[in-house]
Amino acid sequence: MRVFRPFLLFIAVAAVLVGAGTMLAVAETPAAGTTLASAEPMPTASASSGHCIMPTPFMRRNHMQLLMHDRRTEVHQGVREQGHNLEDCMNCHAVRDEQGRAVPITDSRHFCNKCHGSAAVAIDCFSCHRSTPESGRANAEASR
Amino acid sequence: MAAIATATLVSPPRRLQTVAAALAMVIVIALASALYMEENGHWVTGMTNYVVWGLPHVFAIFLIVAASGALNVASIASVFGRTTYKPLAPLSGLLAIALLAGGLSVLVLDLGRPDRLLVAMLNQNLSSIFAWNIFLYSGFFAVVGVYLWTMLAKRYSRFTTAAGTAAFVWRLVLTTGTGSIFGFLVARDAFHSAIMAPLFIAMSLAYGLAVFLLVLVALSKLGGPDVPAELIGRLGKLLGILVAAQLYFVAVFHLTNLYAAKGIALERYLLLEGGIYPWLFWVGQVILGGVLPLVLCLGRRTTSASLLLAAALVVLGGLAQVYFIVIGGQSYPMSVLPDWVLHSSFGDGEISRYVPTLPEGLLGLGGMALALVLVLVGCSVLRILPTSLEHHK
Amino acid sequence: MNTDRRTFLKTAIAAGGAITIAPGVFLVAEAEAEAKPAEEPFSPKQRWGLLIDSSRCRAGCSSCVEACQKEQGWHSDNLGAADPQWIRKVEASDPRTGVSISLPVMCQHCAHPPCVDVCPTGASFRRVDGIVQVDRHLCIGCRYCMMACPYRARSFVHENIDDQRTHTPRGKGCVEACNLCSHRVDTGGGPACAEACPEGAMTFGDLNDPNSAISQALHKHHAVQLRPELKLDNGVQYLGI
Ligand code: SF4
Ligand code: SF4
Repeated sequence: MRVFRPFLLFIAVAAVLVGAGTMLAVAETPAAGTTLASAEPMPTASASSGHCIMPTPFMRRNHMQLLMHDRRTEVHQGVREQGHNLEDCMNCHAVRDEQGRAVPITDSRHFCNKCHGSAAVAIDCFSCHRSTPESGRANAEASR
Repeated sequence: MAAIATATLVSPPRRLQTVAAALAMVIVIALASALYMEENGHWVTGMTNYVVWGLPHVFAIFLIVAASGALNVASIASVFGRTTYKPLAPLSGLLAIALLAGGLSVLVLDLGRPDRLLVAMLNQNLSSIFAWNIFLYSGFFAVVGVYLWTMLAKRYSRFTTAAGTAAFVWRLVLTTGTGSIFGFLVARDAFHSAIMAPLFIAMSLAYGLAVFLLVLVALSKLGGPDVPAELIGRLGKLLGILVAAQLYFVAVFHLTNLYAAKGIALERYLLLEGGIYPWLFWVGQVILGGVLPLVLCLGRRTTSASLLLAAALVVLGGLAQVYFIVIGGQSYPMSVLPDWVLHSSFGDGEISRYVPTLPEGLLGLGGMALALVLVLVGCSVLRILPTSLEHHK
Repeated sequence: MNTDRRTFLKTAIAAGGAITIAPGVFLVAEAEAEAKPAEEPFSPKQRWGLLIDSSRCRAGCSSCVEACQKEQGWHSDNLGAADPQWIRKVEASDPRTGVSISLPVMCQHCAHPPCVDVCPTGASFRRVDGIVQVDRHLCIGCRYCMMACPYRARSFVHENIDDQRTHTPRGKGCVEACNLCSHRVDTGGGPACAEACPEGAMTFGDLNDPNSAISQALHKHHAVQLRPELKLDNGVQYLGI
């Protein structure tokens, strides 16, 4: 039994380190209350084309892979493909408030929060990326 | 070889609990500070774009450097075969692991994105000294862990020498790596130096032994074995020698800088005119952390109390020294056009100011508390400590 | 997104826009490298660079800095030394001669970038076309690159941000710096600072293309790199120092 005692120590050390890390990771998760009632969230109608780049069931499962793949090729190889980036997601899926302004990710009505809230999966994208359409183009299209 | 009787720490419950609770409190406060820094961003600290590493790094580097030195006693026992130190070798190994864990926690919690620790583990840039250090630190845990195991599991004691030697080599490489974090910075005259690595090794030997001595005596008050004055005397003498070696490397470092014309302005800043930094150097590092312990340790008449005071001074002087190296070095202006007088909106040509704030200091202290808690936990669940140190005189 | 800019550039080129490189030297920009189609990777054949003529740069003018702020969306939050600064104007005087110059300083896009060497995760990287930038997906905010950069070109984001430009993601806890407007370069444009300079003191182009304006100017004039003793082979070079 003695032999396993050092392992206990190791586990204690690791647990403290991991625990500290997790605490901070948890702190990054969007605040509680971002959950939306709908169990089957539907994307808001696309502003420009009326449909997404892929069928909804596919997107629900695979949007993260698409984003992941494109971020590699875009950042590291400079491939700036239209229609395959977060910007276009934001432009089409913007949710607008009563004043017609697109709501940011801190708002529970934001498109991404519809699932991510109930699925309790933290989104890291918007710690750097803008969560609303920026250009005049998207706003113009949205108000059309 | 006679087996050494060992035991887990059993102290008057009240005392051990009080100490552990106090340390746990410090850790909780440190975690809260880290959370506060991460929530608001680093602007709530004294760190800026000019002085990018601050107090957390001072504590972290002190702890990491001391971790490697804490292995001194174990190395003397297992590698250099001095059996008198054998009963203390397990504590030495445990302390090394604990100090490293404390230092790394501080470093990790100060990251801009501590939540991406996994990213750092999965994506490694092999030309980065930092990435190597991640490997060296995890390896240190493993190697010293195995070494501890061979000491605690009597069945495997025939591997102790081999494991101890591996740990000895590993910690030298580890401290070389830590020193090289600074030594490899070609851009900054205050850091770029081949002497950084040996200087860090000398620092580690002194800091580690000083911390070991203090922890050993503290443990004796918490139910550990009484520490004979003779043993303190012997460790104290060794500490004196290590402090002398450390001072020697400090002297070489600054004299080398002074030899080159371009280093003179830097040295004048660091040693004479740089505001708080010359004070930290002369008063903190040289007098309190160097000369005084030297006199206390190697003087004619030494007492246990004076040697422990020396050890405490080495720790304080060590913190001053790391502060001086890390922050003093960053505060010295780095010019895009050397020899020109510069002005800009980004502090070009100016001395960079750094005023630490409370949260970052608390975070650093938390690292120290974590190291001590791990020692207490280790000594409580494992048979780290010998029942007596007397008959091993 | 950048079609308007690309069109602008193309028009400028079609109009036979002449760029003045140094007093008395005119170069026709028609020889610039062809734009890369946006949906293709950039080419290792290119090495983007910037030539800055400090003799034309005016002390007190900060058009380039303002253009960069507007393009990349960074600004002061009154945090003093903790505020980001991707590009800054440095006023320098030589005490030996009394000569004064003014120059913008930003990431120098080193061919042997110390920031990339030290970055533990590979977040700092050098694209094959010479642009050095931070992949924020990988950056853990250790700031080792800031310790390593000889030009203090990098900033750490010390505060929460929610007003990013779409094409320039940036956020608390990551390090950032000039990326030569890679989002514009990838779609055939050039950096906003060079475009904004009222004195035409900055020339952007392909250092590997012997016919590019920047190569021709480098051929004719003795350009210097900042801190040349480090031998980092900077993509940003200066005239008039
Ligand atoms: S100037 Fe600094 S940030 Fe830019 S590539 Fe060189 S080392 Fe990296
Ligand atoms: S701060 Fe980010 S980019 Fe800089 S060295 Fe660390 S991980 Fe790399």
